[in-house]
Amino acid sequence: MTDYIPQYIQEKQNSHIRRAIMRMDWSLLTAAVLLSLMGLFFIYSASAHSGQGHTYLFRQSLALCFGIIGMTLLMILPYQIFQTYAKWIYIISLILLVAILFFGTRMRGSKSWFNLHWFYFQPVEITRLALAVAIAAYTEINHKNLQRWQGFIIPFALMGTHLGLILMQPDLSSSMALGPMGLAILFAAGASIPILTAVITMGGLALGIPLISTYFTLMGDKFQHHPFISWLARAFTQQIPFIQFWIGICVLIIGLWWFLRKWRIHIPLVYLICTLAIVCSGVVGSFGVKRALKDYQKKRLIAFVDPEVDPLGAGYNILQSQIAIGSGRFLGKGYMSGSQTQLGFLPEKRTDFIFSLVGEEKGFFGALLVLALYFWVVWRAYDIATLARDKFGRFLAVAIGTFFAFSGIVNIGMVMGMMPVTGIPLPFLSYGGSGLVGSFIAIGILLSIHIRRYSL
Amino acid sequence: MIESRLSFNYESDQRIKALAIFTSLAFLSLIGRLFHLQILRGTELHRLAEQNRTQIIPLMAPRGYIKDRHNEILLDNAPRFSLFYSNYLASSHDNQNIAQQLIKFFPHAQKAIQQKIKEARKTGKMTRIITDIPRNTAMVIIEKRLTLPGVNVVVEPKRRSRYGALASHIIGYVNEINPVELNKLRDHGYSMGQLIGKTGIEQIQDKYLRGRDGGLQFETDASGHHVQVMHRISSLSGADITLTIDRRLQQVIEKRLAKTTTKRGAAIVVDPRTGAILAAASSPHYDPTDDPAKNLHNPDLPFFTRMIQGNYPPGSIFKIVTSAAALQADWDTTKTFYCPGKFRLGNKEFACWKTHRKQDFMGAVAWSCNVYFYNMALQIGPDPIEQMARQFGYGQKTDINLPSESPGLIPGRAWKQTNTDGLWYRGDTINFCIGQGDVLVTPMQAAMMVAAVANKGTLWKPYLIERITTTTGDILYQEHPQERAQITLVPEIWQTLHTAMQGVVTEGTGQRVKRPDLIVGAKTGTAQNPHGDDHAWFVTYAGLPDEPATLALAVFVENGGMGSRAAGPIARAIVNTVFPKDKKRTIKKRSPQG
Repeated sequence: MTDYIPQYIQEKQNSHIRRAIMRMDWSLLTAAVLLSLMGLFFIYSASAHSGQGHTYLFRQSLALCFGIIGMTLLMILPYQIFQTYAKWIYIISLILLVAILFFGTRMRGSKSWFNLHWFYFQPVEITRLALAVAIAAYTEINHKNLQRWQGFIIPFALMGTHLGLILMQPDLSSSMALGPMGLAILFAAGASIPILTAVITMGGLALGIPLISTYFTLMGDKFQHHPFISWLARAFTQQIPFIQFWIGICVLIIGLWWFLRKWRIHIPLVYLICTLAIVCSGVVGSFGVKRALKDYQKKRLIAFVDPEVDPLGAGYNILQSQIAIGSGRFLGKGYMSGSQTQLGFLPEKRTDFIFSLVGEEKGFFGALLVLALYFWVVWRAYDIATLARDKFGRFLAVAIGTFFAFSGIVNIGMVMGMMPVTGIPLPFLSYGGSGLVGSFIAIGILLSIHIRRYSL
Repeated sequence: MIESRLSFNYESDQRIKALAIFTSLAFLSLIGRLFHLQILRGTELHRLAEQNRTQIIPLMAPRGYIKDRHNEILLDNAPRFSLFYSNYLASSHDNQNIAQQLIKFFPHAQKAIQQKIKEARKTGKMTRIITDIPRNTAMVIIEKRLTLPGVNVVVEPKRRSRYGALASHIIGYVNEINPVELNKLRDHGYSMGQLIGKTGIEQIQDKYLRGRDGGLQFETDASGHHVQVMHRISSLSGADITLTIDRRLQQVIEKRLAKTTTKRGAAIVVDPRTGAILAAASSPHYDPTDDPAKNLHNPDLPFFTRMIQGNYPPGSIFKIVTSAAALQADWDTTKTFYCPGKFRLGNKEFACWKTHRKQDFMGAVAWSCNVYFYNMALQIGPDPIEQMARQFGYGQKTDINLPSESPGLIPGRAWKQTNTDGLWYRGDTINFCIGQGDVLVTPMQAAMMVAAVANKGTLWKPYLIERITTTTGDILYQEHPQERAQITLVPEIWQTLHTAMQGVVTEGTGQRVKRPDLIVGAKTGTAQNPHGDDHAWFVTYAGLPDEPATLALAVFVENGGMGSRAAGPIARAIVNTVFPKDKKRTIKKRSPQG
């Protein structure tokens, strides 16, 4: 009696698995695995010269195994469970981020790693998924509120707490991907576009002003022959001209509004006040950012505008990276024989600059293959979002897709000299076990959303 | 409900589509850039990569000069030759070969050469192999360049002292940055192989002195030979520091301290009008060019900066403080006590250094009579003395801008309460009033006290740096005298103190600094200490008649014995250097008086 299992149940179980296999997004899985295998290859190439190739290869392979196990588990697990426990997931992520400030190990200036004896674990790679879960779960219920600015408070509070804790490590590069990820969820949830624009402007001002002022400080009196630029330089480096400058800008905005009114173009007063408020809060926020960023970080961020600013430091790295990629030409110099990499001209070749290594050793075709695979991952993520059966799945997939898109574009843009040097690694390819496991867990969630796109 | 859900999905889909399109555009632009770099500029960048055998040799910035108050240069830079190596495309066999050849030149540095060449191979960067090689060797290596591909001889600035170890405790020394410092200072632009100040002013003002290093970018061919200089970022020399030190005076006191019986001691000369340190020496001093390990085990502790780190009992020079406290408590200076050579309190006997017989206040100061001070202190009690000592800056750091200053120690009822058995006995007062017992001061504090007496009440913050200027003469920093405190005593008391201290010179224990053409005040001290022979102290101020005093000094000789005999001649030498007696007779010719 006990051994008896009705035939139809067995069939149903089988069909479950069969349906899951049929509905599985094999192309996404293939792209992700291919990318990480390429990563293994190039990590070995980057380390062979120093004689540590095997060590790095072994560690990364181990991480890949763990990543694939994690991915499989999350794929089997119904993703809706995250929605149920979203609050707890968020709280645990906060505990992790706080704990690292106390018990973390400091490496290269930031306290971002837990020392677990045989490996280092970087929790930010996992907590960012927790943040995505929290925002997605909140937005699923409250997406109608996103037409009013009050509706933004909680998502921003969720994001801000993570951001603040990560900046305390301080780990600028990991914190940067959080903003676009959260904003993408809100955007996909139908948030009011003017409000989103206002937020982005504010953030832009807050981050932009310190950078401009650092730039002018570093340039010193190079511009003293240009009256306008030297005036601008003073406005950004000295205190009183700075205040005068921004009061001037505000007056200009008011003047513009007034003139438009004269010309019978009526813009409601509310917009004017909002614009002024955005400018002001952006300026005020810039003071905080100025204090939070370290000198070398500011230097790195602006070195891409003008490598001359720091010719032997940050600018040098970008130049060497571009030379590495460009010198690869069509077919590359061949595996393990890129002179830029193997002779140590290329900085951080295992981590941040691994794409330059691909470009140098495998040429245009190799680099294009990476770009295509990478793009496919992002494209699939967005597609999975539109196919998801519920809003939570949709938002989660958008967040994951945006994270991959942002990291990929910023990293590859950086090594090709299109973006500032931010230290964001390239998911799947860059060396780093926690990052690889985190990426595969994210892929697992995507697959889980995709398999369950129809009710099972 | 279903309809609204559908419309939500429709709008959301549109937005996700927008995100996807935006991402696609970004990826397209990445592909465009890739195409631009690899296909359009590929040939050019490939050539650049080939040329990337270019190597950057760091050009070390010359450190700023250190000058004395008359702008006489104490420290400048001399050229030195350093060996750099970069090993573009060299096989490990070639590297071994080069290492062997270099080891022939420098057999003693075998290990370092092999390690540095390994490092050069690992990083692919221009690496400093050996610094400061002899000129002749450098020339030979330059001639043999063809057999030593990748080896470069570079001329760099090296710190040179014009006067040997002069003022080494103040100036400090420089050395290559070590990994601990590098970790701490990486964000401030320091890098491996740079020089950094290790102690003294070289350390504290390193950010001014160091300047900015430049770089020389060479294009090299496949075998590592230089083809041409591509790019030169010139270095910026550091700012010059003008000290308040007078070089001649500094030499005099260092020589004199070295000639004392124990060779251990300190002397400080201050301008009482500003607090500027005219000379400050701690003996024995060390030669910065020496191997530090040699001095580390020297029992005389040359690295110990006695003038600010040494805590010593002040002995009778502390009677200046006791006198000031008594005078403030309206002490009648005509009051006399009989000194039988000893003082009995209960069953304890406190000695005086000789039998003074009947003494009034002036006589007691002049002849440093302990018994008079015992009687006086027992009448006014310890509290006014403690308070006065603190007013004169004892028990606190003088805030001179040098590392590891000691605050000394002034005991009092409160201190005894917390640190010992708790009770203050009359015997403590007796020890306290003559600067014995638990009282500890640094020579610097003693000098600042004399300066405060000389200028009638201003306790200055001592300073060593007059100004910092760029090589083009712009002033980056100008020191202004800073008052630490004002000692509030009425003018009559100051006058009485001056008269008493001048009495020490004209008829008392300080006759060694007697100068009829000057106003000189002094106090001697012979401090007993439990660890050995007595310490000798001598504090003096001097100035031209009818003018404020321009010189204050403290001389301390560790275990030197009698203050007037051991420390007095040094004080005299200082006074005579600052105020030359007449032009023909210099200090060197004068025979020391007995």
